[in-house]
Amino acid sequence: MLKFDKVFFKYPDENNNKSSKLNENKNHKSNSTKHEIDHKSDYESYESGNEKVLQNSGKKSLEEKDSGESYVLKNVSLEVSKGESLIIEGKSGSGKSTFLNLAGKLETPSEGKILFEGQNLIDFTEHEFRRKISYIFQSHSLWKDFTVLENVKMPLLIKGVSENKATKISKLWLDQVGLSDHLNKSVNAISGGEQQRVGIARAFASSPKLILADEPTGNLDNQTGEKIINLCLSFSKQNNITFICVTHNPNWKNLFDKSYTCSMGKMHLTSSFN
Amino acid sequence: MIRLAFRYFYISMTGKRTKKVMWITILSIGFSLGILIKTIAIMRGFQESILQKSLHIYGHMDVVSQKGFKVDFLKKKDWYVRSIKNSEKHGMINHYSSTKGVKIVSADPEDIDYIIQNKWINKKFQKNKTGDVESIAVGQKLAKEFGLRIGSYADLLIPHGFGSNNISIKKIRAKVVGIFSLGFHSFDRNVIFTLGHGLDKYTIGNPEETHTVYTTNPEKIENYKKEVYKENRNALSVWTWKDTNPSLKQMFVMQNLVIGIFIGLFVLCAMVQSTNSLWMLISEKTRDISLLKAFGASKKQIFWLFANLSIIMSISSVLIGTLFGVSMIKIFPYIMSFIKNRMGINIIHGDTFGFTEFFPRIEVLDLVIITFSAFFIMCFILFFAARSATKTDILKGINF
Repeated sequence: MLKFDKVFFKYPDENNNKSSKLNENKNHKSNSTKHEIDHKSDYESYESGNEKVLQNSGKKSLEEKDSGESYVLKNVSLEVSKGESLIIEGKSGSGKSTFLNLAGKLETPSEGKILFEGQNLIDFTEHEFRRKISYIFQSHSLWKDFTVLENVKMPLLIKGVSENKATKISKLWLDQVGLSDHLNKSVNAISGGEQQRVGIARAFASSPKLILADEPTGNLDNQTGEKIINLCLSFSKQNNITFICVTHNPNWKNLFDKSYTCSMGKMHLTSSFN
Repeated sequence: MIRLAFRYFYISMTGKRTKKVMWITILSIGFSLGILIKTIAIMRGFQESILQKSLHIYGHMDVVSQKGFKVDFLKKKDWYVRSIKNSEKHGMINHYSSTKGVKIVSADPEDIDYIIQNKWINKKFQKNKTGDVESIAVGQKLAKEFGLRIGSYADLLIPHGFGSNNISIKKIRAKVVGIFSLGFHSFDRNVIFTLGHGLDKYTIGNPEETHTVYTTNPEKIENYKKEVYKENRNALSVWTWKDTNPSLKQMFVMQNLVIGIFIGLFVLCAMVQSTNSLWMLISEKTRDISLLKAFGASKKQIFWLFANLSIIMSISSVLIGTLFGVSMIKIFPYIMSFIKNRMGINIIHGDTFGFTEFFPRIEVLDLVIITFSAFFIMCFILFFAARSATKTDILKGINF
């Protein structure tokens, strides 16, 4: 279904130039506290508004070039089959969200290729590809001005499904996630856990081939989070949908068919139940 | 996407952050359009009233034959030829004080009403039954200047014998049987109408046959002039109301220019306001747009979402504007009357062409043109703003 073939990713030049200047400053500062730095992750990234700036806190990786360019993802090769579930676990800034953005065609790899159903992702048009996949976001990312039912219906309407059919399908899915009593409520009037369930219903209702979940339980407590994950996994298994989830919680890898750990932009297979 | 557009329109009109801006935009564009419609109606009404008054005094087109050439006109679809035999003479009137030059125009009784309109002059002219005293109608200003009233007498001092070596002045008694007020200072001061053709024998030079051609569309008078010249180039002299009233003609040109400026200002204001509001709405909905794109909405779908929203906004503004404008046209005379009666303010001076009140007028065709133009201009401008919505970045938008 989805295959990453020796994928490298770095941000555009203007960001790298900025980051290289910061790198020089940090290198100068960090030499005196080198022993402390060894215990920290080598790349700390933070988001400032819409920019990602990388700071090299000291230790340089093998792949870092003399010009000061740094890769967010390095030599990522993995494959996930249809109906499989994959979890990528890693600390903040390890590159797992970037992986998801690449899988969702929100970023383009600097090197390597990404294949979806055997075809290079570059060959798909934006909207054509996105109608085959779906998202579950950390912050739910629902349409705040619309009701629960409308939120689930929207992706179906975008695909061209008729109003009646879309309503029918949406109601079924909302019933499955236990929100059939909240159809006409505004999404602002329901709890965080319920909002996430709306997000799940929305993702599955449009019958995608692939679902990308970016920290779907990030805003929830452990108990609710586990319920959400189990819900997603059971739906994806029932409907033969490939499910990729990124999280910083290491406790769930046993629930998935495959699990990877992302560290310093590299992916390491930690378990596989196929 | 149309239903979604309606939904977004409803949300924007009721949402806390957007409703003020949206309501202000739609209402202000609507009111601007309404005021534009009303202004055009007032100016049209004013223009028509002047034309009505002036063109019934001066012939729409005077065609004078030369060298005894007989003029024949075929009655065309939009021409109505009424021939009035005019012998124009120049005479002088003297009553008590110094002589002043006036133009004497003689006309048949049945024609004089057509020329002057019965509301401006007493229709029932009475010819003096005693003797051969001529009956005349004088302008109000002339009457005031010479102290004339209906029934009083005036001596007309008319020169005759032009073309010969002996020019003499003939004194002719005339009775004032009517006083008119046409609103043109020069007319009310310098013209006397005589009933019948009693003064024809005192013509200057050779009598000329003049045909006065009235049209249903006096604004296209130049076209008719060209046609007449095409038929009979050398034998005719043609004067149109535009030739004899260059200042009137200029006034209409100025008026149309002012209307054009108003329209331009309206378009500019509507442009700025509506585009500003839609951009604001698009920036408010950046996250929503990104989500729509993330779930597969194409650029075309996003564009048509906001294009439909633009159409809804334009229709709302234009509807409000048209209703407001048409209502204002209807109630305008009442407003003027209220201002005059309650506050004692007379906006229209009595000497303004004899007007005492305004009658704004607008044709259905004019209204259709204005509203459709406003609608299409607004849509066209807003579509550019709608295009910008398609350029929203998904990642940035979701994190917005």
